[in-house]
Amino acid sequence: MSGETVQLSAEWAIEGKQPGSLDDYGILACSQGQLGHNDFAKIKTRYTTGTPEELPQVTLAWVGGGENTRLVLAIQEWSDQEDRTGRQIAVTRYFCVPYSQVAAQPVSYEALYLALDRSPLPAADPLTFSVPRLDPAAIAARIDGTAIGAAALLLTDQHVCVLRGESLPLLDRLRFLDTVAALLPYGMRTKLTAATWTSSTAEHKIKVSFARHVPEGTHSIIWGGLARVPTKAYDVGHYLDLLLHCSRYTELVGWLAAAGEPLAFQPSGVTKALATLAAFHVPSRSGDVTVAIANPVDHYSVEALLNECADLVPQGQSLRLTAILDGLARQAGARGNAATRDEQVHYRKIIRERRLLEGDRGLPESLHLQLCGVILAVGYGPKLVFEDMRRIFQDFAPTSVLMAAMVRMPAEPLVALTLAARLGPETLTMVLDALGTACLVELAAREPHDPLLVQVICDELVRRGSNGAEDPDIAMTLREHRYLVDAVQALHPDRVEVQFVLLRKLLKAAYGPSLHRREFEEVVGDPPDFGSPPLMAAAITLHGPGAGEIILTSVADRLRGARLPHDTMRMVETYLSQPASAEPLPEPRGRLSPWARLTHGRPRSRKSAQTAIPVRTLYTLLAVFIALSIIEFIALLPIAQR
Amino acid sequence: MVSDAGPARPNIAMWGAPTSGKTTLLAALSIALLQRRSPWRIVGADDASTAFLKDKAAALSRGKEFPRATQAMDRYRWVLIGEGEQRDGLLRRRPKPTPAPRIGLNLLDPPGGVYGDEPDKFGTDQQELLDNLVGSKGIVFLFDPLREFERGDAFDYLYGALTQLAGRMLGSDGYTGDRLPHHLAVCITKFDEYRVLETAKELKLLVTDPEDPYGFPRIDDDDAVELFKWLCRISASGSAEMVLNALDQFFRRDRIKFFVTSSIGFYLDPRTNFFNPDDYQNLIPKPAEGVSFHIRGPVHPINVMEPIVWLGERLAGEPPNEGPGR
Repeated sequence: MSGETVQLSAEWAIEGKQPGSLDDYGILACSQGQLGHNDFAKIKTRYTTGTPEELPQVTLAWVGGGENTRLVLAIQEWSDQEDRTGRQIAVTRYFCVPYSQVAAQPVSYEALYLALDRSPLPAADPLTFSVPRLDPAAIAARIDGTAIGAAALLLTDQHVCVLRGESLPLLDRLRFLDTVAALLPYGMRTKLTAATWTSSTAEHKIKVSFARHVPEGTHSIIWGGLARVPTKAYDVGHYLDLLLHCSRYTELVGWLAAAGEPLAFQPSGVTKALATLAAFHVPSRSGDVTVAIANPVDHYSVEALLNECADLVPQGQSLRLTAILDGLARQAGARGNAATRDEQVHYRKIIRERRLLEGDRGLPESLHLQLCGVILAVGYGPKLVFEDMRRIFQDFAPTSVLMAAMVRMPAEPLVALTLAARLGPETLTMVLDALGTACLVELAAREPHDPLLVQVICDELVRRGSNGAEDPDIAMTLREHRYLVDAVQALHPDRVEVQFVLLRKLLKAAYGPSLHRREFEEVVGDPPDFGSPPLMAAAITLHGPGAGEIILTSVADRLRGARLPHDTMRMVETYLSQPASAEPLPEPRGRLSPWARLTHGRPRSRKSAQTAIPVRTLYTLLAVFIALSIIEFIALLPIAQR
Repeated sequence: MVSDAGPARPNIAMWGAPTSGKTTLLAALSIALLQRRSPWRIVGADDASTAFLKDKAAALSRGKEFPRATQAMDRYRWVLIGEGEQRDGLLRRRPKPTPAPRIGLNLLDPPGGVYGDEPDKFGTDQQELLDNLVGSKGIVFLFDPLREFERGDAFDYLYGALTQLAGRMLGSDGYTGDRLPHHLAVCITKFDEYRVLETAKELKLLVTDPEDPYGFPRIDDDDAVELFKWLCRISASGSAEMVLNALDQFFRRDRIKFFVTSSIGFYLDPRTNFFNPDDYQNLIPKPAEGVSFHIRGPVHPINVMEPIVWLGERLAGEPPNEGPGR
């Protein structure tokens, strides 16, 4: 089939806005065929993917019905023009290809994109171009569990959201969508909508897309992971089984591509899709027995499959092992949360006793990764929690393959970050990007402290707040967790100068290169909290001159709030404000100090007069001691690290 | 895995012409709450809404970038969290902390074009918008004086959708009121712009908050309507004065409040860190272009949290609107 080309035509439109304009986005130009300006405006409305963040992006859709059905391909990219408020203008090119032209001669979405992306608009009317015919072998080579899962989930007619893949190159994401579409009868493209990106806050009508977050009411599948099919969706589960247990994917893709009759994602369409797939008979992976694909491995118990896995691993039977793992993945996916706690405890016992997560099994790395991933999903799914991670590492050595498989599972943020911190910068970056600042700070503050985690998080916070960046969450969440002084202390015990440097960096990340008065007060507390001298010192050095006055003012305010005897208070204020060389004020009388003017002295009672001297002395000593401690501490530090 | 059932219905809708600053106001919200040391905090109720708060605020404050022009009906689910109080316990034994007040904000932020006379032209779904407006309880209406001066189309972006909304609600048999039940925060935007500020100065409406460390001028909310009336006079089409009449006709007067806002605020000289009446424009033309503008210095949102908090407080505890057929 490959090598042949198909001649196609397309109606087109351009969406954008005029440079320097105050307008919204609209259709700027379009071809003069059957589809007019308003038709393209409706296409734009119906298939919006949200306000773009990263471009280019590609959206695949459809329009019309019956003989007038067209496949829509939209390519959105940045122009070099801006609107009035300086915002870069995105331009979207829409192409509508009659479905009748491809129904009998199927082409891939990738081929359409590559051909049309080279076509500048405005163009001839209609635009004609040629593309290679769909190559089943090329698509079959890309089939994996994620694509199979996404294809099956599409039959639920709900949005399928692919997570953690939005940073892949555009062409990789488009090829994934092509693979997913190729696992459905070709005629379903007349109702399929797919996009290389959708906004997680926008209302959209895209059935399968890459996204950063899972919107409510949608299925999610993690890039490289397996699907969890709702247990009640029997047809969907059955479709998944049939796909998972196919061994001749090239033939299967060709088979499905030939099924060009338009089908909807409605129950009747799903039934027809299932029948189309079931009609395709494939030999089993063992090669000698042909089984009807409609006869999946449901009769295997998870326990039997686990034991079979354990038997096969030492024998190095990769093909058979892959088939068993597919079956186990299906079981884990179909059962979802349905596995009871007791069942999982039983599975874990088998996993432990049969050493199913052991490292160095002599398997190809990809197969070993798949083995660990499936076993983890069965024994510890659907979401890996910290306690389970701890247990796994009690039973098995934390090899890089095991940790890589664990980090691919849905997991608590603490688990994901703990693993990623040990797996290298690439994984770490991916996990960090998915975690909000508040979450990171909470993880760092969690006790007992994991020094590696604290270091990673502190580095990330500093990165997020560096180079003039202002992440408003940093200050707020650090404040809520006392600027991580305990975590930093645990990270560098007995190395107060290093604590100082790190806390200073965190404060700079939170507030910028210097602290204003209110920020300074926020950090040191009111009254000042001397629980962490390094934090106090970091705040003082970031505030600069005048820090002492703020602290002393705060101390004085606090003392004043205690309603000490008037004379005592006056003396405290005097000593706080005078340099050491100054002569103390004579005991009563004299002028009021500036602070005292702010308050109204209360008449001294006889009782307070009697107790005035000891209390006064006590507070004076305390205030002087605090001031001297701060000065001494700063003097001992290396000069203001910056 | 499938997440929770359908999305929560928006209870507050942003309303305004394209480029009036709807999304920018939302992006500035968390910055405003942090800078003003407000008793309120805002957090996302889902991951995507949290990411908006974090990313857009950072882009605005760090990158000095306005949010991209909205191209779809965006929805944000946030929660405003106030501060709990310590209250004396029974017989003054031990102080009891009262629960912190929480106000759910489900915001709808559509592209401005959807409010226009020709929503089809911009490919936006006005019916979907109206469905959401019927179910919402609060509206943030943005009046952009600069756009009004150049285009004079604020009325166009108000009246068409407003009459349809009124038709749906007031015209239905089940509704007995004579006004729409929504609370309406009217935001006069771009207070940082020279012409707006100078107008306010001429009208002697400027005040300064002694607690404000930057000494920014402000306009009391009670005086905001005065500025609004004056700014309506500079409308290029002369139709802006009808905006006020339309608001009066369709909304209950006791449920309308005016705010003078700026999402980016005034420029501050980094050497003095204090408002300079001779050099305060934070949005200036890009050099050698003259077509578009850019943000010059750090942003200091003015009166951005107030309309949202005001609406949130009023909406807290109110039953949802009963639209026709709902």
